[in-house]
Amino acid sequence: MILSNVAIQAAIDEGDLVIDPEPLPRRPSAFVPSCPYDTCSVNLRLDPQLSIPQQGKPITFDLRHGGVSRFLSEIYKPLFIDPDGGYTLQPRKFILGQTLERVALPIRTGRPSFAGRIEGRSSFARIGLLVHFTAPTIHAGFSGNIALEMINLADYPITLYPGVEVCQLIIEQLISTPFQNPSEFQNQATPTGPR
Amino acid sequence: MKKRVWLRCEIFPGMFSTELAVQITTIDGNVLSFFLPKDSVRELDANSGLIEVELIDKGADFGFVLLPQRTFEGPNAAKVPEALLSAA
Repeated sequence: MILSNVAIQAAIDEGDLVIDPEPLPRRPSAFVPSCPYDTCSVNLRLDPQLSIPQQGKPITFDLRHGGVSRFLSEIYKPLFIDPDGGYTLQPRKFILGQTLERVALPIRTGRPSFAGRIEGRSSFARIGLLVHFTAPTIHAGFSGNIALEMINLADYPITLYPGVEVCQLIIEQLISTPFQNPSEFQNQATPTGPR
Repeated sequence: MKKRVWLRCEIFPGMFSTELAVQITTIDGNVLSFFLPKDSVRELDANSGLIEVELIDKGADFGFVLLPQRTFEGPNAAKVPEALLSAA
């Protein structure tokens, strides 16, 4: 069941969903006509910080080896977007961004649990910008800024600015309170790759 | 048995300045890793820190813990040396 904008705001009020800072205004008005809520989603903004893969490094990525997070950190470097000039994403280049907002989907006994899905926006899709191409699911229990896997599929450069509403968050309610599953431990001896 | 405990782990700079790369070596020698927000890690020094995990079971020399999130390598729980665990 997908939450409407009204239900998203109610979940925020009840503490079942955290979006920090809270997207505002909750309703459009003559004074602030731009509202981040659509009927069943809320727009999130691009954080000023990107993570850029370093060019020219001889890399072979082998998912069977452990320590993936450290390896990724060594080949990507953080970069802050120039607020005036922006960051120009060249055609067919891949970078990581993240949402400016921190999102939390707490699991609390006796309370509804939610999961999320991050999706691009049609306006960016039309110019050829993917803000995620896999892993759109935000699991119940998650807390943090949402990583955006960004690719410019167009033949022309696209300039990104911090704070732009770059993606939309869709919230779905779980049927019951989930448990976290330690049974995958049984597969630990044969790592199966990232989530 | 379900109890919150601290797990000592290796830490490295993350892909964003707001996060850390966390690395755990299991009792079997497998290396598991994931990213966590910096405020979820109690940094001890440049390359080690404590993360809060849920202790599910204990053996003679290990604890079986539920990790704060699924690892890149697959599991979301691990058998870790007991020496790496301390009371939260």
